[in-house]
Amino acid sequence: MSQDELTGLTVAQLARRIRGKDVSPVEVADAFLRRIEAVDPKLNAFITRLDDHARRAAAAAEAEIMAGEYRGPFHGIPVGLKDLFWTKGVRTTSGSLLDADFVPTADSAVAERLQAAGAYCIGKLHMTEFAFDGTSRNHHYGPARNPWDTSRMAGGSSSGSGVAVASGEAPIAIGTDTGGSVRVPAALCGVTGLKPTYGLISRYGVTPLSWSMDHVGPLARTAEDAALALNALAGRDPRDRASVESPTQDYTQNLDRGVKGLRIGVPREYVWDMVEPEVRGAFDEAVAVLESLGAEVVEVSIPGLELINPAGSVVQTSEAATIHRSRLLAYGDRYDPVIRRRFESGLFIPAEAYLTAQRVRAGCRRSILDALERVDLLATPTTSIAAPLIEQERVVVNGQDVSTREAVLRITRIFSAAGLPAVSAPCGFTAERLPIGLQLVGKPLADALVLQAAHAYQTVTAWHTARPGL
Amino acid sequence: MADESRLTYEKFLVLAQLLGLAMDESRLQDLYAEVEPMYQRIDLLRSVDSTPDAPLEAPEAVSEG
Repeated sequence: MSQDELTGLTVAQLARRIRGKDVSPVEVADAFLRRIEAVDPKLNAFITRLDDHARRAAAAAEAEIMAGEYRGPFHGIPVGLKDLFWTKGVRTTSGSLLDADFVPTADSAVAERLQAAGAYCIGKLHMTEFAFDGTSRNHHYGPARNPWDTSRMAGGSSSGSGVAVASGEAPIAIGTDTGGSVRVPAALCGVTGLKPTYGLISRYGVTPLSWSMDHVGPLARTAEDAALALNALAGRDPRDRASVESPTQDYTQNLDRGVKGLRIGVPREYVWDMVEPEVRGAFDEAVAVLESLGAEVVEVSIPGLELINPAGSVVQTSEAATIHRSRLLAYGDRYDPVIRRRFESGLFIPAEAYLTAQRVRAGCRRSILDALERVDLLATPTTSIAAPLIEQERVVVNGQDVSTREAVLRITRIFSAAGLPAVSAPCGFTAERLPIGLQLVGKPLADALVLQAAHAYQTVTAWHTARPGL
Repeated sequence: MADESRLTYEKFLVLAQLLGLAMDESRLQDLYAEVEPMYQRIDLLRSVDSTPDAPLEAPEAVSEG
C-alpha cells in the first residue's frame, strides 16, 4: 500500500489493516512522517514534531501486536495533540511565547488514555495563543494555513488539528473547544469534529482558558473515528472537577442505526441572521439528505437564543482573565497584543456582571433543552461563512459588517455555552472549493446519537472523503 | 441609568490604574476599544430578567462583535 493510500485512511481502516497484519505500525508511522515532511512547510500544522518518538512508539506497538497483545483500534495509530495537552518530557507551548520552554513533568489525562489504548503522539499541533481566538493566526508561530487554499484561515483555536487531519498529516487529532475551537477548524478544513457533552472527556493536564466552557474533543475524518476516540477518551476522572459520571458504553455500537424516525429541529431564531447564501444552500441540501433517510425535519423556536453569545462571551472572558491575571500584570508584553487586550478586557468585568451572565446563560440553556424535548437533535450550519483570508479582520455577511472571529464562532459558541454534544461534519463546498460544515447537536450525554446521525449522513454522502490537492 | 453605567474613557482609565495595568496611552486606547463593547454586552444582560423561571426575552437587538 502506497504512502498516499495509507495517509488517506481513517483510523477504523488503519486499525483493520494493523490488526490483520496487512500493514505494520512502523509503516504507518513512516508514511505519516513522510507526509508531514512533504506538506507541513506549506501548512504549519505542527509546533513540535516528534518524529523519533513516533518511530520508537510505532516499533513498540508493532512488537506488542506481533506478540499477540493487540489492545484495540488505537494500537499503533499516530495521533496529533493540540499543543495545550501536557505531554511528559515534551514541551507544551499553548501557542504562546510565555510557555515556549514549558516541559510538563506529567501527562494530561488525554495523553495517558491514548497511550493506554496503544496510540502515540506524532506531534504537538498549532493553536492560537492560549486558545483565545477562532482564527488560525498566531503572532509567535505564524498562521496555520488551510489545506484547501493556503491563503485562507484554518479556523481555530485547534487550527493545527484541523489542518493535520485534512492534509493527511495525522489520521486523527485531539483539540479543545471553548467557543467552537474543535468544530470551527473542522468545518473550515473539511473534517469531522466533535465537541462532546461538557465533562465527558477529562481536562486534567489541559492548559485552561475558561473552566466552565472548556471541552476536549476529537477531529477526525469520520464520525466513526470520532466515536472510536470517545471510546478511548471518555470517562470519569476525579482530577477534573467538571468530569461527569457517564454510563460506560461503546460509542460505535449504534452508529448504523440511521436517522429514520428521528426528529431534527432547525432553530428559527438568531442563526439565520447572518449566514452566507452558499453556506445556507449546502445546509439545506444536507437537511434534505437527512429527510431522505427518514428523519423528520421541523422548525423549532428557541426564545432568547440570541442572548447566549453575549452571556458566553462575558463568562469566557472573565474566566480567562482570572486565569491569566498574574501573568498579564507581570509579562503582558510577551502576549500577542491582540490576545493580551482580549484577556485584559476580562479584568474589567465586575463580579455582578459575571454572575448575571451565568444566570442568562443558564436560562438560554434551559430554553435549548426545552426545544430538545420536542426534537431529538438540532441542526445548524457550523459556521456562518467558509474560510476567510488569513489576514481578513472583518467580513460582510447578509449586509452586516462583523469581525471574522464573530462570524466563525457565533453559531458554535451557543452550544459550547450550553455544554451540549455537537458534531460538525463536512456537507459541501463553496464555488471557490472551500469546505462547509453541518452541525448536529444533542441533549446532554446524547453523544452517541449525535455521532449516529452524522454517520448516517456520511454513509450516503462523500464530502468527508474529499482531499485537498497539496 | 444607561448613561450612568456607561464606561467612559475617564472611568476606564481609573479602573485600569486600579487593576495595575501599564498606563501606556496608545495601548490603553486600544484596550478601551475592546472593553467598551464588552460593557455594552453586560448592559444588555443586565436588562434581561434572568430570574430562574422567567421566560428569556432579548429587550433589543444584540450587537455583534
